[in-house]
Amino acid sequence: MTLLSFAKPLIIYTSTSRPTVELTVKTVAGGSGRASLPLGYDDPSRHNGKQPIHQLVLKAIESLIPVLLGAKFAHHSAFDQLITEATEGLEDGLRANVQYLVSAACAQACSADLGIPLHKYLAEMAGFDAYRGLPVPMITLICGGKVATTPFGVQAIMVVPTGVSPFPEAVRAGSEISHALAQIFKREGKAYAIGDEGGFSTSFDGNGTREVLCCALNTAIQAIDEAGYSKPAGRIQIAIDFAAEHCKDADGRYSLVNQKDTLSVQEVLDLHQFIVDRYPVLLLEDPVATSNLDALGELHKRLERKSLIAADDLLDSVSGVAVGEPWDAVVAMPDRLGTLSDTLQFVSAAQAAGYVPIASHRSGETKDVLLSDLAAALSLPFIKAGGMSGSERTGKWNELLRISELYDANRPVLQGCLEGNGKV
Amino acid sequence: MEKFEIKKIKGREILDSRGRPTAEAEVFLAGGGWGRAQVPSGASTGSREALELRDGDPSRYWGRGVRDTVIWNINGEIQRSLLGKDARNQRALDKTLIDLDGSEGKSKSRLGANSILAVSLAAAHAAANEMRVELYQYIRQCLYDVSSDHDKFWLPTPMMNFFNGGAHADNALDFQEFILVPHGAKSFEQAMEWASEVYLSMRRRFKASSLRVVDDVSFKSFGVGDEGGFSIQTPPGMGPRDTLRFALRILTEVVEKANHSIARDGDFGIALDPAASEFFVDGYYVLGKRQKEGNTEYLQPKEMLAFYEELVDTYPIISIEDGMAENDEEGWKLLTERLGRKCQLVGDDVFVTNPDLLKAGISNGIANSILIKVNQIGTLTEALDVVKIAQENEYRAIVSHRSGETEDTTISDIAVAVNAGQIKTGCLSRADRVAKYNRLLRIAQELGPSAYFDGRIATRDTGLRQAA
Repeated sequence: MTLLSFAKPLIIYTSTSRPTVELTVKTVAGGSGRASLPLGYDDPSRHNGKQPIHQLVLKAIESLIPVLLGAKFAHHSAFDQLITEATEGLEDGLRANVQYLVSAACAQACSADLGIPLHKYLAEMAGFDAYRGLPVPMITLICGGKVATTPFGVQAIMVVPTGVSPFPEAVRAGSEISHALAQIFKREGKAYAIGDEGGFSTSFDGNGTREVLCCALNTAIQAIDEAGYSKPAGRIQIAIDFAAEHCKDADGRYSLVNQKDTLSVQEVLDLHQFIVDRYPVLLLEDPVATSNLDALGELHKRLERKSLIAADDLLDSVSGVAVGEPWDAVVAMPDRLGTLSDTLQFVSAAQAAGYVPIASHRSGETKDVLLSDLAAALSLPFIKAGGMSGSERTGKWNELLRISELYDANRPVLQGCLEGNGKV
Repeated sequence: MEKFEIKKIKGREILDSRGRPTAEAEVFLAGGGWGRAQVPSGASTGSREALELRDGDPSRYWGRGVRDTVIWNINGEIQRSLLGKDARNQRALDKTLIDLDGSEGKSKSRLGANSILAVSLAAAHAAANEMRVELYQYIRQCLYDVSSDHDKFWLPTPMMNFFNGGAHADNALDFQEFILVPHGAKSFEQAMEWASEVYLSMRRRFKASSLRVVDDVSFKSFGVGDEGGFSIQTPPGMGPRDTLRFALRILTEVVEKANHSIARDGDFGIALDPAASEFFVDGYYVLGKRQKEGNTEYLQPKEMLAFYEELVDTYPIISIEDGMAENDEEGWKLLTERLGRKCQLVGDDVFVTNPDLLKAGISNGIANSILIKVNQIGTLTEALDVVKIAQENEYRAIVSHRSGETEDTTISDIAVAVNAGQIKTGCLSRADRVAKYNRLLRIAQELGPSAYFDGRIATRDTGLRQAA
């Protein structure tokens, strides 16, 4: 039986300078836990009147404290149940944030009480007694769109070392490729900086969407080659996050790469087809607005699972992972899903429906590494935690490096869940 | 006592905030307490710093790996020499490490300053953990005597690097850092609120109009540099000094556009880190080498000084770090003589957190403050000793990060423990920087009203060494 004796929220700042809330809890037995709320760019819209999200979360947490301090529970799921009931009146997005924060802080404290690492605690909570493998990191090489201040509109171009194992070697590949890319920029006298998610941000040359995107992808391929990872082919694949929902104008046209060049839905689909045919693309995230199900369905048919489609927007709950949707993978952001029990449910529902779950960070992160523990505990096939710059990103790779010491070094990183996908 | 005995030490190769390998060490005690610390790495390094070790194996991390040397040393030789020792006896532990290394001039080149520092700091974390106290309390209680009239805990005024140049960014700015100091804030929390407002306002401007922040001239920013500040691209064709003046003008305007005042008595002041050693060649300060047009200017030390005097008269500059090069003693003396009363003059490359260099500087009238970078000297004890020398001689000791940082927040605790009064740990972006500020917010919450905060410490007369 666990009893909380202390719970205190604090306003801290994310990696993108925005105020957010951190919660510290302690148990009677002496364990302490701390979690913080990451923020995405969509979150500021969740205002209630004029109050920013961190104020709302802070207020909600403060009103929950009496409930928390009286809470006695035997299992984490019982605690999550209690939190779920206590937060019933809150608006959806806010409720998920509050539930996540409380559940995550409490999980840390409980694992400390038990004297076991957080990932082990989470694995036990999910009913896994053995590790099945560590996730493949999806490492952001180039940042654009909302997470950069450049005109390049694609949110993220990622390298995915599917053919490099064990985990520390996959991380090394990401680091060496990033380093090679910086050397290319320097050699070419190209100005660059770091975007919000720890990848490089710069501008790319070309006329029109296709040329600019190809220029960026060619540069990425060149970096992979110069870092020595192009042979044998397929060791490193590419994933692209278009965040297309944010690129759509009122007439339904998309400015995927450049504000000045808008594309019709058909042109967008042709572009994706073109890219997938020419580059080792493992996955396209939000290639078309999720609201445009017809277009997504057509793209899904055209790609024939040679490249996976990942859906991110509209997937805040278990109801988003119904069978038969026109995508292959779903992005799980624990802070948007609610308690950790809710995240576990989301992941198992996704897997049951045949989708590949991807653990994902947000654009505004902290040094909190729960995401890494969660991805390892559930043996998720992929984790997106940004690039190779900024400790809110590298800290998450570091936590997985620590966890990897507990694994058999020869165990393959990638699970069987991607079998049947031609590219892997 | 037995429970403070070191039972196990474990090293690990991890990534720093720039995606390069660095060392992490964990120290475990017999009583169950443990500590973890990670070491940073600098981009602009003084030539007299303690030396970090790298594998040099080109097949891993372009030769920058630490697995086969640094980690090997931590898990082997270092662990063996410290097993069974009392973690509370930091001075003895650090002496053991220095003796074990045995390299000439305490450069720590044999075992690597990175392996030694990781273990030195992790041991302090472990001892604090075993005592069930916070690290800053442990350092204050057991490792550092503040003079009795300052027995409160001071929360430091943040010095936040908003524009990156020099070795930290890929642009035409010769000065390495343009720093905002929220010196009008009444509390540490308020300083953070203001910094966040200015950062977010600045970012919106770079995003929205990406080209026209100042009315008549255009410039842009592609994002942030290693230390979380913006890496701005100034318009081409400007001379090097005009480029620097231009950067200061933008800095002033963006603060005002975020509805804050920037003045000696306003919300924000400015601190500069020219890192002048980086552009000092054959007796001249060479500006403009980073510009593509080749508008290079060669300034004698006294011309460089005149430029600083002009900037200090035009902008609310309250502090200048490494205004002269590490090997330009005459330039430093001149700078201290002329600006030492108006400005905090901070020695970094010239002192490299080294007690002997600091003592020599104090007797030669060089600078009036010192930057403390724990990894420049290599052990916690030695770093604290340097702070002591500085404070006893009325030099300010400003605790500082490095450009290659990690999520480790030890320096926040050190700043509070020694009443440094100022901390320099980057802009309020990237968790490698923000985590240090967040740690201070947590300490502020814990201390409550008992903590002391003086935003304007850099421009207080007391403690500022009067130039002769």
